Amino acid sequence: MDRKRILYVDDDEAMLRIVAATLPRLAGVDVVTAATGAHALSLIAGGRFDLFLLDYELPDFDGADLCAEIRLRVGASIPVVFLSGHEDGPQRHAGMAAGANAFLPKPSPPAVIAAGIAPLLRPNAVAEVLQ
Amino acid sequence: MTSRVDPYVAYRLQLLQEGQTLRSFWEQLGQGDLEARERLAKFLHRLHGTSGTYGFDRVSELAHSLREAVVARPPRILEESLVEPLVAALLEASLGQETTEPASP
Repeated sequence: MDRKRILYVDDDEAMLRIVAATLPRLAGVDVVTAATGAHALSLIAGGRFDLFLLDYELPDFDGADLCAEIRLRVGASIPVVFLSGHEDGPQRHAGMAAGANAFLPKPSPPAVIAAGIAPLLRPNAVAEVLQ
Repeated sequence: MTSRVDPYVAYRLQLLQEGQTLRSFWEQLGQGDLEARERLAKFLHRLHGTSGTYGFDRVSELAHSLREAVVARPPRILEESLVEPLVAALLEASLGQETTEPASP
C-alpha cells in the first residue's frame, strides 16, 4: 500500500526540519515541506497529498486564506490541519471557518502531532467527520 | 527544502544564535525603538512554539512568559532581570544541559 503523503507549510526552517524528520516514523507518512503559501500552492498543483498541515502566520498568506485557497483547489475531501500557537485566538475560529478539520497547538511534541493527524488519515475520515 | 542534518543538532546551534538575537531585540527595546516591541513579541512567539516542539520546555515556558510581559507592560518598566532567565536557558539548551528530546530521530 502506498504511504500517505502530507504537505507541511511553515516559514520556520527548524519546524520544517523536525516535522520532516519525525513524522515519517511516528505517523508513517512521507512529508513534503514548503516555507510559503505560494510554494505550497505550486506543489499542490503538481501532485497529490493526503493531508495539509499548516502554520497560521506565513510571510505571504494568512492561514485562513491559504486554507480557503486549498479548499478551492482540492475540494473538501482532503483534511487540512493547523499547527499554530494561536490555538486560543480568533485565528482558530477563522481557520475552522475556512474549512480546516483540526487545530493543533504549537508547541506540541512530534508524537502529539502524529496522534493529532492520525485519525484524519484514515480512509473516508473527513466524510465521517462531516456526517 | 530541508537538509539531512540532525534537526536537534541544528536547533542547538540555532538556540545559541537566538540568545544573541534576544539580546539585540532587548537593547533596541530599551533604546525606545517603537517597533522593537512587536518584533520581540513575534520572535518570542516563534521561540515558544519551536523550542517546545523540540522538547526544550524551559526555554519554551520562559519565552511564553516573557512575551506576555513584553506585550502587557510599557517598555520603560521592563527590567533587565526579566530577560536574564531566558538568556541563561538558551545557553544551557544550546550546550546540551536542558533537553528532553522525546522524539529524536
